[in-house]
Amino acid sequence: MKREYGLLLCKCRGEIDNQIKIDELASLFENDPRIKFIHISESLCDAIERKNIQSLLRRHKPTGVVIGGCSPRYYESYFRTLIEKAGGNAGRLAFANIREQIAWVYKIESKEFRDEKAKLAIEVAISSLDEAHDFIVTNVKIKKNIAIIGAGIGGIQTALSIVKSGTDAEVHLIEKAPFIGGDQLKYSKAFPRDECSACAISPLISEISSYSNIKLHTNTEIVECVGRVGDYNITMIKYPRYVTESCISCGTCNAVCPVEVVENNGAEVHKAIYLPFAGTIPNRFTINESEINSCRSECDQPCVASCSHNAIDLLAFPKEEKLTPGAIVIATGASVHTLQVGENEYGYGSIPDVLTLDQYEKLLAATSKWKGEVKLQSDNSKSPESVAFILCVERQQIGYCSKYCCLSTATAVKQTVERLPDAKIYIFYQDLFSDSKFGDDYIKFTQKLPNVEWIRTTPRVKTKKDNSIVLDVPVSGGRIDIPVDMLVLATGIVPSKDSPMLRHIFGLDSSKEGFFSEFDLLFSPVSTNDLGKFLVGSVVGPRTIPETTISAFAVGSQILNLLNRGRIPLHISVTEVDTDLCSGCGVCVKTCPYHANTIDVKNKIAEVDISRCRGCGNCVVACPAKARDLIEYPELAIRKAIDLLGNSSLIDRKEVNMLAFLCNGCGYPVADNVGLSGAGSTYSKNLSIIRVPCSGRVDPRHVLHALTLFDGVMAGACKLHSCHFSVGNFDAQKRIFLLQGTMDTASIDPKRLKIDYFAPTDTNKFCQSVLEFERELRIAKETELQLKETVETEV
Amino acid sequence: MAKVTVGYAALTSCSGCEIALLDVNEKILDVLKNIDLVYGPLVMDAREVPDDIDLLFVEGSVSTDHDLQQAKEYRKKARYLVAVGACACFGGIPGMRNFFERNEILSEVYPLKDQSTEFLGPTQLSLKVQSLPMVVKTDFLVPGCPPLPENFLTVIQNYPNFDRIKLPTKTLCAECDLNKNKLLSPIREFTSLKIKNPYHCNKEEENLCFLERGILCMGVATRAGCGGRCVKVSVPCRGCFGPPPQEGSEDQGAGVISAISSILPTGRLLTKEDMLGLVYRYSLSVITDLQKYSQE
Repeated sequence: MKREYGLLLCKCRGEIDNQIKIDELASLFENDPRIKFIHISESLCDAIERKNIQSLLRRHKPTGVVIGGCSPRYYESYFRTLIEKAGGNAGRLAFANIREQIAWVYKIESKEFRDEKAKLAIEVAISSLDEAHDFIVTNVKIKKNIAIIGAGIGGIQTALSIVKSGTDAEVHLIEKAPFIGGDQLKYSKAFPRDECSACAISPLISEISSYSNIKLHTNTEIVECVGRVGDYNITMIKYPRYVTESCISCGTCNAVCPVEVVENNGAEVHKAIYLPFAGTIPNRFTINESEINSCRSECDQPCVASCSHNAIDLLAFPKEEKLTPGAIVIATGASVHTLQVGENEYGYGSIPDVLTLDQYEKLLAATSKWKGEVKLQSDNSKSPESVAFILCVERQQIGYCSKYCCLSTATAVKQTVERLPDAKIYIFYQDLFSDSKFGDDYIKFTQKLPNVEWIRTTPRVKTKKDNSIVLDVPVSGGRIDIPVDMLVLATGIVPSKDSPMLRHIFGLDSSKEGFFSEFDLLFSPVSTNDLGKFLVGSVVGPRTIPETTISAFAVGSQILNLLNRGRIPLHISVTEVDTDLCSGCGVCVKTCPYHANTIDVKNKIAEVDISRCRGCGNCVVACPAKARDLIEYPELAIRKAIDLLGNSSLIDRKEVNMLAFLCNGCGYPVADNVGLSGAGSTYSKNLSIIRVPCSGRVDPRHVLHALTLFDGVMAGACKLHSCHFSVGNFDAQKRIFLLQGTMDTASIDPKRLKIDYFAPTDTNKFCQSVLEFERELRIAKETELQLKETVETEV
Repeated sequence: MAKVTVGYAALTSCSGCEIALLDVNEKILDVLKNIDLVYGPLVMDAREVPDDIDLLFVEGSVSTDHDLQQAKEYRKKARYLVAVGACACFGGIPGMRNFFERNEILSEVYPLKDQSTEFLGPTQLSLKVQSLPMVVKTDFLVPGCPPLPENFLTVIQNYPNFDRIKLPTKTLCAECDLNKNKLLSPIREFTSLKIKNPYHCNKEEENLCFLERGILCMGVATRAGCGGRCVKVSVPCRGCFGPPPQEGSEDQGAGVISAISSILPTGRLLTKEDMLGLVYRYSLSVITDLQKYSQE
């Protein structure tokens, strides 16, 4: 098919026309056999032009459109939609960036140079159209089925916000523990209104039972998750609770149970068959998996005999179940950092009256063994006369502030004062953090309480043989000893111990602390790298109840959005894998940060999950067989661009010529912004630019090819850790490093290759970087030429 | 029908490919009734390649002026010219000379002689080693170092319609039976933190993909066709079947570099391996064209 393109040139109200004569430029392409029509506009992006362009496209039906104007960053999607509406394919569009990267940036160069450069830019754009792929969009059906992993406050709020919309979608609430409600339920009171946690959360929990489309799965763990947005497949194991649904929670079994189970280092004590408190959901007794073996073998099982409903089945076994949700919410929360018994400096674990704040708060709860009072752990008949709290315990090990301990301690202090009005209370702190509008007042209130002293220092704990606690407190002019009856240690929040496994099952990314990473912290803080998986609550880091609720509602609306649409369009960014070339080596699987690639082991072919692919092109580079291509940035278009730029008449072999592969995230915008920032800022006229989606698309094969035409090749990437495609710049760095090393062995100056990292506004740094590169290349080139001359004259 | 006249000539090479031809053994009898072997230094006594020959196999790379002259002559004499072995097809082992200047090579080999005046052999080393297809038109390539003996028979049997021969388009991984575990898991971690040699590996690893053991294997960027004869006996692929066929993947070394950078620790690779000699052992590199700054 003969391709005929439309050329749209923009004068940008003089911004371009003052530097490059657009009419002259147009006349150069009038007789080009590839161009069907040329349209020159004062300003292409104007609303009035919209109709003109559309009628032009309808009339001429071009197979592709070249736009000479501003940077593609501004109007690329606008023109793609225009082309699509006029009946063309959105992929058949190419930009020649003659405003930012020529007209503005080369104001000090000669007019002829600018004209020539603009002509070259348009030629590159035309040649890229020759190689363009069609854009493909597929629709993915969303199953009306949602899985929420974790039934704490976050999970419950998400479930409620979905079902309250009136949707008939089924919501599966999957919880590992035998009861729903999460950790907060076990605490005595919740900041800031000092409500009893159980009272505050219970209405929320009981609301669940009023919606028939919320299905509860307690004692359930996820073992596998496959599939993609709209159609996942989850395998879960349901552990039995050993009490059947005929249980009416009368408590007879609990009364006769002879076994006492101690958990959480003595803070939680219950019978083997138990209910944490009345009104839990499900409101049925349970036996923990850890106890069941001794119940079966070492006990004469009075519970079974006592139950008049025959509800106890000690021989029940785990079952495997499958679910096919359309979207998955991960709301598994976080844990409290636990101190290593025997390996901490506070005597925790060896002295019974040294507790963690987590234990203390659970003991303060009305249902605990303290029964609403404060008792010494070493002697349950006595109450302490002095209590000390230490904040920021082992913060150095955790490495961050959990922003929870200060307020939680204040809540605990308030309750201690209420229960023990005469006791002396010390709080040792380093920093006070109150991430709430009530926080400061709340802490100030506790500071004014009688018998309460807030001291800003870090005490040392002197352990004594008789298990009494003495704090060695530094004061001005020395140290003093303060003996206390009880010591409470406030530790931070850490990722739950299941999170590495969950990360593996769901293919999520995690931060270095082990919390899951959001797709984009700023603009999609509840999404993950998979379109159908969402994060709620403390899985991304310590969160308060209001924050968790907000994230739950955000996820609720995202999921309703998915459900409402029913189908979502997926822009396919990578071509199908060429089954003739691919041999399933697995390199793409390892390279993709979005886990979009899998290998069909039987046929040894790679498969791409288009719903996970974000189009960075890292796999296209990694593929040693070149069995795939990016749709928006075709391989051949890049190669042709290198050839055209490298062989153009603008290349002066006496000068040093540079080619830059700039990533669409930061490298290309920073080059644009050099022109934008106006007066005087410019970069070398010997620099040619090729746009790539991500520095991960910078192919060593292209680089080597480019080095035969240019003196130096440079890759412009986002700053490390700020790559728009997760790890593209790291991969680019590694490839370039390895290539430089290889070139060095072949006695080719590795300085001819360079990678630099920019933020989009680092215009000065970019100019400097190019300048420095040019200088280095010039020195290298001159030395080499001199060397050659001397060798030749000697010969 | 007259018998097809077949010859076997060599440029700069080790004659290993001709030995591979002899390894056809008794199967040669299957084709001998159709062909007439007229030239081959190891098998017969003819001094010159006859002027009119139907099928000429040529091994070896073009690395001297004489080679170049010979190659052109062979092309004239032969109706069909087939490049045999990695040297003829891609430059091969002699091609690694391109990483050095010609003078460096000469002063290394003849350190005591004055290169400008003394006699250094009947011919001049050419500036750069070239493969046969770079200097003359070739009708078919039989890659490998050495090629598989069967491949000679295939070429003879399909004479003169070489396009009937179905060439593998995949990479060696398609023919390799070693197990992959870590490479199939999407977790972004190196498959091995150490760079090892085959003799470092213990028995349990014997059936594991080389890249997962920390051994650089060229199989990912090497065209299939050999049946995995090295990897079957626990020797990593060195790439003698040349680059994969897709346009743009000609540079075998750069292909490996692109692929392994996120799989093996690059710093250790550079210190532990001779990357250049490994990734470009059998195929010429674009790198060799870079040494001189643009042609002035």
